[in-house]
Amino acid sequence: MVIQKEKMNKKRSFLRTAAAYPHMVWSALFIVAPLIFVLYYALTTEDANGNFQFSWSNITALAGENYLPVFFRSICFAIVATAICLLLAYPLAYFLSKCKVSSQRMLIMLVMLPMWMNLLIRTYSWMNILETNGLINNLLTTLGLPNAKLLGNGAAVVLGMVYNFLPYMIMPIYTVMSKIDPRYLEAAADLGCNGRQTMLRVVFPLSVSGIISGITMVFVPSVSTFYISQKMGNGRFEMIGDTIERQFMSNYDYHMGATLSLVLMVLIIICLAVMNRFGEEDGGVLV
Amino acid sequence: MMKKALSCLLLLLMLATLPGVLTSCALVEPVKKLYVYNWGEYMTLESGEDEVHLNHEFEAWYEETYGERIEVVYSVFSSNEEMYAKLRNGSSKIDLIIPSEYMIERLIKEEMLMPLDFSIITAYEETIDPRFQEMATKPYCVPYTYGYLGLIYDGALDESLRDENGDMSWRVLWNEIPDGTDLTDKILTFNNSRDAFGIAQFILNYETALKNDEKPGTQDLYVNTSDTSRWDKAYLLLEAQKDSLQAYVMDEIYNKMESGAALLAPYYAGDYFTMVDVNENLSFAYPKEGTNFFYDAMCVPKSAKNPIEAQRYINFILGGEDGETLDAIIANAEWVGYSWPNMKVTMNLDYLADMADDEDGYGAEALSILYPESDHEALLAMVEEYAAWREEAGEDYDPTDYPGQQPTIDMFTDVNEDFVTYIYENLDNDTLVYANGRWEALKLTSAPCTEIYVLSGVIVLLLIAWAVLYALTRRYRSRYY
Repeated sequence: MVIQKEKMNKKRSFLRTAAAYPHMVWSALFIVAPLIFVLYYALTTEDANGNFQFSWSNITALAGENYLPVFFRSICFAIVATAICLLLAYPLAYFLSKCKVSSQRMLIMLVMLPMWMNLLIRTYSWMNILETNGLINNLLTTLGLPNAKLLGNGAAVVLGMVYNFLPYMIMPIYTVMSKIDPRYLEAAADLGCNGRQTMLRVVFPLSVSGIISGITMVFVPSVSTFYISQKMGNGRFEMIGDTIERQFMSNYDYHMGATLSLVLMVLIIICLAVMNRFGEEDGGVLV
Repeated sequence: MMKKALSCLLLLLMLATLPGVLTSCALVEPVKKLYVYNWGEYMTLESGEDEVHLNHEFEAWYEETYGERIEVVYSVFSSNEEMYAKLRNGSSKIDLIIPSEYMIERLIKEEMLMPLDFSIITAYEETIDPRFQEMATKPYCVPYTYGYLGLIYDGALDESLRDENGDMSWRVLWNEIPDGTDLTDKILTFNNSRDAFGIAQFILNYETALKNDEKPGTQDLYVNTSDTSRWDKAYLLLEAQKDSLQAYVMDEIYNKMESGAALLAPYYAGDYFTMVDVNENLSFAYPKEGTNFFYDAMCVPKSAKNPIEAQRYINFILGGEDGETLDAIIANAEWVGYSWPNMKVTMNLDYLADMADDEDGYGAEALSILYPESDHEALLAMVEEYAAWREEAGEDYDPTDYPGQQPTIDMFTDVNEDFVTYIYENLDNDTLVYANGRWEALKLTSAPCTEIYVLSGVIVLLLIAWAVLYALTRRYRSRYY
């Protein structure tokens, strides 16, 4: 009897690991292998005969070709977009978690709804809204107000990022907040906390993990975005994503593209490591 | 019990149909497949009434001519580079491609194209514009369409944009408007290096020729140069353009020009008609400095499995040996709307009259825009006469009854000598790298966005301040617990 049970356990544990194999194969094929390719391309150059040769020249070229300001610009835009997302998303997520369950579902669907459309289409629609004779300016004209230049400036790029990535901020914060036991809040009230104190000392610390994953999920796509800045910024605010895209699409310089991607990845990892230092102190769940 | 009976029944049914499946498989002979790879929206493939599906026409023509069935498998690409990547990795079957001239040069250089057998493409000599027959790429490709780059602008600006001689200059894209109008923030330009540089190079080439008292366009010092200092000059010109521009665009141009958000942009002649359909205020002109001449041509890759059939397809596109497929080809030409190197098409009065028609075509300006190098004024007069005759003759007219004049080849070739054109050649590798580097430098410098830098600085400072404060209060509190 006992032996049979052991056998069963063995069988089950084998099945359990077997269930993970597809995922492992998937990761190896589509995550690890491409990363190795990126690394390989980043550290090689192509000579006239099409042979690859190991060299650091791509990385040293980064400083020379004015790429550093582009990295800096991308990070600045991403920081601003992430901060605005957080400011907008936090109260909204709190409000959502306090709603009735039925209306929560409805509202969450409204948050997710724009994401069912393609990012390119959403961005293109924003262009039509902000254009010199777009929706908003037409409205201003009919009201007899002077037209405003809304497209092709830094604010438009940030708007595009915020609009497209806001749901990624709302969702994790909302998830964490809706799991906060209401009894904590009651306890805080019993112990004499007023609304502000409850918010600051109970709700906020408990939602830090959500904030951190939200920031990650907004910051990373913002810093590497390439379409939004081109369209909303009229192609005048080059982000690092645009630069990388051009290396592959028009310059055919895969090595430079890979180098830029690699540096971008390292930068993102550094940024996230710094972020996670904040999170660890509060025992937050890291992404 | 019920289940078992049911499954037995199903099994029986399957067995019963099996022989039928087997025999039907054996009976249908495998149909040969021709894989054609073309730009999107570049061939009429409509199967409604009064519409032409060119590939179905080809299949019928092929069966009739060669007594064999064939099926065209048609797929589309949206850029030369996409086509190149697909061809390069070699995994897909492609028998015929229609890329642009610089890509063809590249493919020839990389030995990826098959020299064509002009004993199969029998219609070539008689149909293709003599200008194309002299081209260096001739052994490898047969031109499908061609076109020119021009200026698209808001018609209300027409007078302001023309100089005292009534000519337009590419310089207007630098906000140098002859009558001093300020178009800052209303001008677009290309967001790809070759086209953006090209415009600056046309200007430089023209101005250098004038300085040296030469006839503009006789010498190409800039467009296909491998001299880096000349690329630098073009770069400086593009840098000076930056402040007048609203945007660097590719396909957003449609939206911006059609809505009137921008007033001035360079683009391809064939696409102007698409825009003017939406916004009828738009106008089109070829600047005096000359312009880019481009063509897309049919080629057979070396890896093609059916090269003979592919070349027969090319012959079909040219109208067939005795022009038997010309009707379908003309319908295609009218549908696509670019300029055609097929003389049998361009000299067809019905085609010309349809193109110049105000309602179904593109209006009288169509001929001067599509065929600027031709004697388009004489052509238009001829076409108008024909259109009037056709109107009178009614529904069942027979073009062969037309008593008036027919266009001649001379009207199309080398009439307008002042019209300067440049073909973009495939640049050598070093030049390409240099030019790309210059374009990088142009794009990497951004429009000012100080407010974003300041804001992100403030955010980072606030974050640091909060972290410090948090750590301090924590330490302070920990004393009490």
